[in-house]
Amino acid sequence: MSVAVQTLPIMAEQAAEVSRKRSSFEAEAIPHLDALRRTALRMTKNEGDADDLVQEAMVKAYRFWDKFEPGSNCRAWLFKIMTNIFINNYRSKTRAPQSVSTDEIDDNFVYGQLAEMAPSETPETELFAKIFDDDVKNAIEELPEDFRTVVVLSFLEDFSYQEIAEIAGLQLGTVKSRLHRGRKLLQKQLFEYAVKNGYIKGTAH
Amino acid sequence: MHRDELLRAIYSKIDGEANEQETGALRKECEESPEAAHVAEKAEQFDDALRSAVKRAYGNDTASSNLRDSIFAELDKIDEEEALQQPAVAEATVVTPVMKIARGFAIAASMFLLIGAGFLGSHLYQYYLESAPLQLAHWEAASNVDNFDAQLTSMALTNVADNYAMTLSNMVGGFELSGGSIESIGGVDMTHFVFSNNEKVVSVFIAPAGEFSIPDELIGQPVVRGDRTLFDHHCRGCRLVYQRTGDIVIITATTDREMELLDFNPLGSI
Repeated sequence: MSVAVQTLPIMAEQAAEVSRKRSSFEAEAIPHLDALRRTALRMTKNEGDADDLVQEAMVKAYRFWDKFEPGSNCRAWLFKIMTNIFINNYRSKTRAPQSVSTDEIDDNFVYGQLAEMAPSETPETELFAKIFDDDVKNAIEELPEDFRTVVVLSFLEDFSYQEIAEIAGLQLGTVKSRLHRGRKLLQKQLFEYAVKNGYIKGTAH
Repeated sequence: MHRDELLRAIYSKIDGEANEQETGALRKECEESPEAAHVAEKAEQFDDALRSAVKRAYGNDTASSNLRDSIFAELDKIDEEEALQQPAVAEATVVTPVMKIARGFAIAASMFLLIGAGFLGSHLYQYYLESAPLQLAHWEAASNVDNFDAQLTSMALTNVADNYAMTLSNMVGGFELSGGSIESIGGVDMTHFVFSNNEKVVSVFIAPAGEFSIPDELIGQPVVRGDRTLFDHHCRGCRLVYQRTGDIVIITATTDREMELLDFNPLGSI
């Protein structure tokens, strides 16, 4: 009898440890749920898959919570977990990784548009105030996946290049390159959209 | 600078990622070329506007309550799994049915603690630590009521007689003494007697008052029965009644909800 009796306090201590872990996770990780969901939706482009991806990421993060170093960047750690799951489990489900050659992006287009803007024109008033949120979303979702992930992490979540490199498992130079190209693609799409709809005067390129 | 090179430098600066060399090269380019300066200015405005538009477009995207609930349910499952993990105790490799019951109780008690922790905090935890070993010991003894060792029972009786000048009757309130033993319960050496009437089982724990205290949570709620002051605790799996008498604390325990444990007086007689 004494064995089982003496085991109980140990189990109680385990229960208390679990309780402490849960409190800590809820305080540090749960506040990032909205941001994770937002980015998950941009990655998967599907509400159901986005929910599944976030849930999978949070469950994995909780299972490995003891590996998280208190005081370090919890948000980047969670995004890294989610991005890894996406790359391993979801990307292959949707489509093969895309690659866009530099040739497909007109280097001169964005430069030309910027150069042709009158000094008094402000993009916010002339362009983005007129573009609907859905247009922006569509433009982002049309980005090739490799670029989209980097653009979303930068534009939407304000991660630094180094953080994005760690989250997405990329070299710093690759992040810079993808962000630059993704940004140009995004700008080009929105410029073209704005010109096409007569929001701004533009040059056909 | 080539146009693309210029844009890269501009965007590095906008992103706050440009090093001194890149910043210096960009500044020089803008000083020398009005067009470059113009593009840099517009690119910065354009990028600010684009970032604002992206944030505005996605600003209302939040995790649904369904998703949150679903995640919390998964976390609960993990908590349960981890709480149920058995510690590595070498002696526990032989698991008897009694021990399975005991473990089941311990698990239930652990989960009860977890579920209520958010509301009850450390008081429950502390009380759990104090009372659960007694409940567990009673559960196990009640499952073994016909198999007490006569020699251990004799030692237990001698122990209370020698140390506490206490003579325990073989019959208490219609319950017959089934057996006894000296056990370490919750880190305290206690003498544990078991009484039964073929239907119900009552444990009597006798602990030195210097080593075992009646839980603080019960002290403010005494129940008087004749000349006895008792402290009654009902919980899901067991009922415990505490009594301080001189240098000892007597705890009676039963799992039978119908039984009036307050009337069971081990210091009384038949």
